[in-house]
Amino acid sequence: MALTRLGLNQSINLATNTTGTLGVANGGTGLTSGTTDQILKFTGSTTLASAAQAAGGKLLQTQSALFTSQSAHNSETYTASNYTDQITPSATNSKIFVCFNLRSHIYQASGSTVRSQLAIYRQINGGGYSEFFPANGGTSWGIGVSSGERTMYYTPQITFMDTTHNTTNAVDYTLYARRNTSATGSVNVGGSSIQAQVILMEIAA
Amino acid sequence: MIDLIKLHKALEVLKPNVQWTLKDDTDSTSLTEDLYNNIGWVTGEDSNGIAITTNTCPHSEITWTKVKEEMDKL
Repeated sequence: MALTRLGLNQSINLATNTTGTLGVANGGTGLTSGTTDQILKFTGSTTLASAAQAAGGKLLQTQSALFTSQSAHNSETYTASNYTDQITPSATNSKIFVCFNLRSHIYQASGSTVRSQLAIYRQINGGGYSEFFPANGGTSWGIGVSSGERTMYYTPQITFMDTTHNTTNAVDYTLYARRNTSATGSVNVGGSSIQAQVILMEIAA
Repeated sequence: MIDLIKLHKALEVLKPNVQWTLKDDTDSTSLTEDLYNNIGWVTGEDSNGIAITTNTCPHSEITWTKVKEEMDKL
């Protein structure tokens, strides 16, 4: 082995004047090459090796919308509220987590019962809305009393997983509301300065 | 935004159990004629269970003037 004494202000060309590898214990990797698109991983306390990257997370995208508007639904059939949001899935087999946070209130001057029904309607690629969750009946809430004027406030959270969209086109979710068919009175969503939020999350299959 | 219960009360005076819907995203605290003209009057139901509505009030008992008058009484 040839040895050369280095003088002051001289240096070793590491690219041409060294051989072998510098081990982990001395601050190196102990490697002469790696594998494209892989990462370094400790396979022992002083050993590094190429390894595949860890798989990505399951959450593919999120959408959200904030509202302060209100709407009245004094009908025995569903009518749309302002609360809506859209997501375009990146895969047909992904799942969409849907969450509506809102305030609703009902009023009745007299009678025996007042009930509100809320449901999330879904539309795919602008093809028209149909009731999606609950599949029928709606989320019902209300009050039954014998007499007297009554007002009731409620903050429902409607959450569910859409596993059947089967599309990469835009999907809309909108809150619909109505009065129960056996009820009278006023059914409302939102209110002055009352915030509501819709959150949509696409989750990988 | 307007008081939707007040509007309900006014409409109940003019035509009990009338079915209607209204989206209100205005800053106005009193009913304006523009907002009144946005009321959806329910006339039927489609095959998806969604109300069919019209912005032209089909009820002769209900007019903007009468609704305004009833609202002002409350």
